[in-house]
Amino acid sequence: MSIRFQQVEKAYTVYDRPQDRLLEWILRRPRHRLHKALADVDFEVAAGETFGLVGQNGAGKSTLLKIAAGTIRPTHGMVRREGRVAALLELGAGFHPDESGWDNLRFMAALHGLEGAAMRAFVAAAVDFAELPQEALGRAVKTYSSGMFMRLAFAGATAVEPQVLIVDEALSVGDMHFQKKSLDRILSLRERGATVLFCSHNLYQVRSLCQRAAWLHEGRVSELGATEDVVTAYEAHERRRYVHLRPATAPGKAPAAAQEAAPQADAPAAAPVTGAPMVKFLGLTVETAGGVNPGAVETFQDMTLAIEVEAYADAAFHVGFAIVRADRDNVFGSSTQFRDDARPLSGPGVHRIRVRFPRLALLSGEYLWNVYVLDDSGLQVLDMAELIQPFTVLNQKKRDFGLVWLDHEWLPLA
Amino acid sequence: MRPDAHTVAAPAIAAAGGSRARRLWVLWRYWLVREYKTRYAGSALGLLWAIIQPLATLAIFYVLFGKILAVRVPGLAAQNGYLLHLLAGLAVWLPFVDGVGRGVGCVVAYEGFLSKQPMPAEILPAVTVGGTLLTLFLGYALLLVLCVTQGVGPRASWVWLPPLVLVQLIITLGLAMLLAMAHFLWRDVGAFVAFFLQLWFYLTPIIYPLSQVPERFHSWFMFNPAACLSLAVQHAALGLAVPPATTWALLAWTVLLGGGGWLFFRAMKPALGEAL
Repeated sequence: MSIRFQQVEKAYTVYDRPQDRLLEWILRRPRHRLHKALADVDFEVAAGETFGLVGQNGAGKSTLLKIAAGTIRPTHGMVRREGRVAALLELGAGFHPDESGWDNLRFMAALHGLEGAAMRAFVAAAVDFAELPQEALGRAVKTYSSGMFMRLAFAGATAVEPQVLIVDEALSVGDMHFQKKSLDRILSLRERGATVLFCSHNLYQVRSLCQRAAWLHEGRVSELGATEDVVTAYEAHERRRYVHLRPATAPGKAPAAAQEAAPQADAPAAAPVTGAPMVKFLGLTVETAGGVNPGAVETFQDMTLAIEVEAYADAAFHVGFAIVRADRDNVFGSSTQFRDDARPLSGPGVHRIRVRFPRLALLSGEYLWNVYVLDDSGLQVLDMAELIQPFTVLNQKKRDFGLVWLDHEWLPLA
Repeated sequence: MRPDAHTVAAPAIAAAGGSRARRLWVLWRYWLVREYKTRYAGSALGLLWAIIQPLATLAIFYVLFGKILAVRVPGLAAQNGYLLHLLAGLAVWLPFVDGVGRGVGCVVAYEGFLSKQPMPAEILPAVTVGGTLLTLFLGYALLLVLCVTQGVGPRASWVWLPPLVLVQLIITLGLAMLLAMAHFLWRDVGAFVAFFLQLWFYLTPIIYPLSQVPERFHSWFMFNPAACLSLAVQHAALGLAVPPATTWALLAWTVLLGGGGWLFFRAMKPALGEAL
């Protein structure tokens, strides 16, 4: 029920021309270059633990997950797996497009060595989870929409109750409802004691899900330990990397992407949200004594923030916001989930959330807002708007400088 | 972070499979059925094609060489001696060429799958060769039935046929593994094999009896594993005389291709699923 990496190293042999491999094999003289994807990876994902992998693209995360799943072998070192492993590396990779949904599920059962009654139970469980109509299951998989395909694939991949789950960012697909359902399935497997190793660009997810994490950098484990420490170190690194790319103030709605994290120019948007969101962000207003959405806010003025969202379904949700600087550093953020009662909002219709900041302690500068609408677990982003509604804060009364006012007192000379 | 109310708790399917060998056996059988289904998917006659195709091939060669060109097989005392000889050759050749011809592409076809799904790649050539079993058994069954009706059998040497079938499967599997992996590494292999299989057919004594070939060339046929196989089958089933070295050559080919194919496949397997 655990995964143990022992001194794992992976070097890909790269041949410039295909005939070089043949010549090398015949002449027994090396004609390849080595691309070292991983080196000195040595850690254990303990039983029942949820372990996150973070790192830039090309840092070796996928290679490590493939080694963990057993599709490729390490060049040196070894990996020990205990328990029934399910790898969600690429959903539906083995599906035959000309075969029906039923047949493809049966094939997945056969991949697990199931037949007869066990195969029927497998298929029944997967069908139950996939929520596809009987008519669709009888059709060839090539006629499916990508959402339907993902439902079937995810259902098939987790129908054998796995004890060890290896998840690449396979979950950022499909419609909202199913995304949530897959996430819930992983959470429930975790609650029943499954070991989870997963990699994600969504650092918010990593923070919420994982007990421990590792940051892979250029094929090596750069940081390993408690999630918060690792993710913070990674974020700091990313920020330094992009410090020269400080975006100009960008008003307007950023494309919906579940990326609360530091900017990553080379990272794909973690969750291209498809389908209509169940809750939509409508708008945000700021009110001070100077009026609604004033051009400038004075330090120590009272300010009230109002966020309007519209829900189309009965499902419960949370609303979060953050005051950010143009370089995306969070100054302050909160969420309805962080309130003492942590009660989510629910019910269809327009909801208006108001937050009052008495004596706003921001000092002079340009600030913007991020707004997130999250599901009731606080993990899945239903809608979001980043770097919107820039506002200026002017500190006219005091000469103290910086980002925020910190309470302080000058002590008499001793 | 709590699993939501609308999570459908799929029933735990405890202890999937059993031992590794059993799992592979189950998978192989399932995959084989699937292979037959997809091979003839969308055709009206379906599985009947597995019978029609070999029979049509047999009919073409029989009419062309047996009737029109009237090729005779010396040493075979039967009215339709050429038909029996042709059938014995095709019973070997058709499954062989099917296994090798399809086997070449079997790994490449599942390249993407192999990099995402932990699975022993050896199952792919094994399924391809399994897919030839139907043709194989139909061919042998027809051969034996015709032998009996033509008064050539049954004979004691037929006990050699089961081991010969096994040898044929080993050679086909070994060659399929060798070529499938080679084709994965160098795509030239597929193009070459497609052309070479045509030539190979004429280099094998199937549509002509070896006795029609000048004696001094006979030893060359020992370098052709398919020829060794069909000669051995013609000898065992019909009692035709073959070069005495055939048995040893066949044994050598079995070890060389069966073992070599397997070793090459294992040696190059790390390259699978590693395409950058």
